Amino acid sequence: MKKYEHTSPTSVQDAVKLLSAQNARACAGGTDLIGIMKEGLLPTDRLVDLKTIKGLDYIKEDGGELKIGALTKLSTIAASDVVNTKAPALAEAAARVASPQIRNMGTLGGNMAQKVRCWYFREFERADCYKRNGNYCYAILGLSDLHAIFDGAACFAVQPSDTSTALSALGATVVINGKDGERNVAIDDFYIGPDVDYLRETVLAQDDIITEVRIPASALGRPSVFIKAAPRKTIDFARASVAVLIDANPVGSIRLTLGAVAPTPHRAKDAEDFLKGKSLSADNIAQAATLAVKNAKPLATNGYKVDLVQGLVRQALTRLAS
Amino acid sequence: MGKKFSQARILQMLDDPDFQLLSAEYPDLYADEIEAMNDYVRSITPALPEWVKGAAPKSQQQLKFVGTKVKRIEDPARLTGNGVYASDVQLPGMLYGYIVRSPYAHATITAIDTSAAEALPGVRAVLTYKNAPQTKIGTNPDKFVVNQEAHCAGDEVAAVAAEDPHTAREAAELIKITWQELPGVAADIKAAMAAGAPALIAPNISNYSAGTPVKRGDFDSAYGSASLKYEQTYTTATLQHTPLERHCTVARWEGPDRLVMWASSQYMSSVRSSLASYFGMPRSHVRVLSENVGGGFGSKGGAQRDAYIAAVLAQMTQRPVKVYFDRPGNFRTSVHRYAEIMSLKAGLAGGNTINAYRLDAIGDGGANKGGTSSLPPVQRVYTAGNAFFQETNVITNRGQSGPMRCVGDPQGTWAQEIFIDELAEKAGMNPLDFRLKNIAEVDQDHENRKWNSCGLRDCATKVATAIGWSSKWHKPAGKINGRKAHGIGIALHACGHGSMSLPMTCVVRLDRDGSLDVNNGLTEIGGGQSTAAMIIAAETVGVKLTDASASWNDTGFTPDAGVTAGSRGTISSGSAVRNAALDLKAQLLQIATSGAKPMLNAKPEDCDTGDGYAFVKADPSQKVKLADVANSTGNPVIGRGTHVVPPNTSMSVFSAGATEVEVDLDTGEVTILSYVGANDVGQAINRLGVEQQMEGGIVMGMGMGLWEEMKYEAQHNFPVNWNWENYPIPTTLDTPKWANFQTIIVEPIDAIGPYGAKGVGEPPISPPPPALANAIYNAIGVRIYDAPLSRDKVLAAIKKMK
Repeated sequence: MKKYEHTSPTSVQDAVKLLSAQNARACAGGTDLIGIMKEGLLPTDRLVDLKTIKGLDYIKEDGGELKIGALTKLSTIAASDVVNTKAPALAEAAARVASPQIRNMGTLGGNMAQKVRCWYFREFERADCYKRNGNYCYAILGLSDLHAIFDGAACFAVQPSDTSTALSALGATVVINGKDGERNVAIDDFYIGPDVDYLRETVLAQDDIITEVRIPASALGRPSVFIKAAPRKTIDFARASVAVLIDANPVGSIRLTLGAVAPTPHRAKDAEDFLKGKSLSADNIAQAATLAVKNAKPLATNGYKVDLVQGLVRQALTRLAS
Repeated sequence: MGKKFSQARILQMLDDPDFQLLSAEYPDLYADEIEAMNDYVRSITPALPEWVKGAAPKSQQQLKFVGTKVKRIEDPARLTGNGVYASDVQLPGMLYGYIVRSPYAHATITAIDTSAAEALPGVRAVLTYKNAPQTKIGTNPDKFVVNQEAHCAGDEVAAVAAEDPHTAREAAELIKITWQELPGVAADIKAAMAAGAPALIAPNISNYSAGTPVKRGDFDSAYGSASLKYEQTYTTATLQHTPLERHCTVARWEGPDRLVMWASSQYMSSVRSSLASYFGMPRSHVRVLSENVGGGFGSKGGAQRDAYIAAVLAQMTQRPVKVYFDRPGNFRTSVHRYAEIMSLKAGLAGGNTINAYRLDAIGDGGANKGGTSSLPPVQRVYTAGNAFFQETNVITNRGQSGPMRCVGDPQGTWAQEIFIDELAEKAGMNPLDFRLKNIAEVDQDHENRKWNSCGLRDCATKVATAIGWSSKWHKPAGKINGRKAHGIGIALHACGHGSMSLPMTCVVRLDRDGSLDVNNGLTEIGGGQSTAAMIIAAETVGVKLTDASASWNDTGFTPDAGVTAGSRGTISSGSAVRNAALDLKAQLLQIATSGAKPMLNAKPEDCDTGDGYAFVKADPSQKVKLADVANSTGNPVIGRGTHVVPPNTSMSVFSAGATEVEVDLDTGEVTILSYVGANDVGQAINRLGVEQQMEGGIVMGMGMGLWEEMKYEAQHNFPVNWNWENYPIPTTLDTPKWANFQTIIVEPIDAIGPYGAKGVGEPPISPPPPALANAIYNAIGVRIYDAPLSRDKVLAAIKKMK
């Protein structure tokens, strides 16, 4: 790793200021950032250690919403009674991130803002791909096992965050602090695709910090579920995941999000629309699963994700139906 | 078969650590050479007095320590962090090396500029092909320590030594290289064999060569007249060892011609002789320590590039240098298990008897043309009077191929055991019954002579009984509950390793306080080799186990005992330990019974030892402490021994595995519900160690079966997954619950190994992959022929379900 300046702000305002310098990077748990710095994929002159800011790790119900501080550890969220009771999909997603050691270090904000895991971007040193500021995507003609079956445009790397899938289904709001103060961004707007900017995956500017995530009253206490498919039963990033929130069965409102199959958390809107007003019968579940992959455009070696997503959707809806 | 060698050639083979390594890993390819070496050493080795051999325990029941569970002597240090590994070594003034590797599968450097790297503060040396010593290092193709031409992605082309590892890496990135890419083959093995394929190593070296076929009877006519014929092609992937401790060497020059190295190696004596030869020094001037090794699995056989580069950089800088590969570097230049394409053909006679059997295998020898050998299980497990087995070795630009917990036998067993399962179904038989009907219990390629010991049938029936085969096996796709399908599978295996190997030597000494030390030159690599040696020595000399130890690995005071590979540690080096211990015992009894005032008034042959005493057999109250015996000489008493394999020996190791899986029909997820493995080990020396070796091998086999695969892409002739993130090895959660994970030790006492032991390091890895494949077939009724049984293939198979 190259030399960099390590800074320890004690307030959000300090951190934002420190982040305005050239190649300054916000670091929470560091489980993603340090790796990517070692690989030389993110030039870093200054590291702004958010862990020295007090008061950003909490889980509380406030004004009908569930508010989670961005520095809350993933292991804390996974073990939280209130999250497990009020927003189970998020607890399940946090519990399925990586390994116990990483969940003990990794934070909610960091998990949401992590960099993509594309093996060309991360490991192929000759790659002059879009994410490396080049103009090529190696996955299109190469090995695309990890890559997007939806919404790929130029870059086909997928959003790897498990919590992002759950938060999308839960309709969360992301509270961001930046140089112009605080702003709230809906989760559907927080993640951006390569068609908007292929060098980043979220709306966060270099000097923006996620400070809080809010789960709306409409989602709290409602049935929700998160299921992840990965090569092994632990550690691995998702090859596909699904998170679903419903109000009741028969379904009045539903949010059904697919993870690790698109550059952003991917709402399966055709399936959502189909299920509105219907009961979660076996037939309806099967049809919804088919609709969930209606617009899939697999590459050479990620066609299996089309089958996998359907299976996951069936499993998730079947669990909610029972 | 039966090749003859001159005495000069035999002595040369015996003296060449590289050949020792090669023949230990490929005992079948070098059977004649091994036999010649054994014959020669036997002819010149003085025999032990018959009465000493007779003093050994007569039956297994008389054994005190052999076969018991003994905690490994190295464990406390390793588990508390006190054990020193090469990667732990920090020396005053030590520099750190970093290696520049080729980003191309096949390319040559047309220009290299190191000025920016050299100018970086903290950089002490930059090594490229321009200033590297012009001494070849005996690789294939023969290369220098760093090279201008790269034959695989990851080939070493330059190295930097700097004051800290970060500076070394930064400097490595500042070296500007202009590459000219050359035609290469990394994505498709068969492309290297195609007409008009570019010469991958040199214009005068063919890209492929067919091995000598093994033939029996007349395959063609037997196949032609078969009542049932079947053929199928199977493939396995390129696999990586991924040891926890990556390749590492620390080198320090203690004078212009004195070199000390801390090496993470499976064969410290080979590192010593290779480096001595490289620098033109006597071997005694190079000392190699491999006190603890964080895993090797075949990838750390001899002196690897880390050792050479560390020594050269240390010589250039006159400072100690540590070269510790990073994980991607370890993936790139460590040898790997080679990928294989295997076509099997069989003809049945009488409906259910294999009469004609043929294997045509293509092994990916990689850029180093590593040896390929998948034949032994196909030759040994099933009876086939008419057979033809042949393997073709192909050069590609897919990294370096080499041994990995065995070499090619797991590949052969993957193909054979799925094939046999299919044959059983075609013959209308239960897969277990078909196997038991067709298994061979003789050495078919040596006039059907009996194996020294053969526990194959026992292994098969014991795993079947333990897993409940007769009640649990069902028709394919016959037990589906909701979206979960249950399946059960079995696989048998015979291994070319763990049996015959080269002559070995050992020194055992009884100190004047009566404690026993084994100066065993076999490198302890985590398999429990030191503890096994200690058990054998204590049992034989007759001291308390608590008074015995085995010395740490250091070429400074242990003789070369060959490589820890080929499942040969306990059997080959253990036999030398036993003979050295017998020699020591004979000396002790001679001393105790001779002299003006003998300590025991009896002939040596009428005495025995035990519990630290020598005593008269007819009157055990007449006894003397072995410490007093040693003390009476004023010096430690030293025994030495040599292990030699008797002529005309048929020795093989066998294993079996059975497993139950649950396949999730929605997601293709495979859960291993249970696994039972059985191994024919002859006789367990350390029962605990055997269980651990079996458990480790089985879990590694599960990885080969379900997840592990280097993924090469055609576009750039490049592997995309050279780190643990996308090369998944099993975690505890991926293995069966402990209560459902069983190991069975089968012990048909072998006449040759020490106390009847055979090897166990490698054979457990082979049954799990095909047993899992067969279990998945049993669950869903669709076959998968290509390892690993990854999610994409299982999902595709589920789609084909009726």
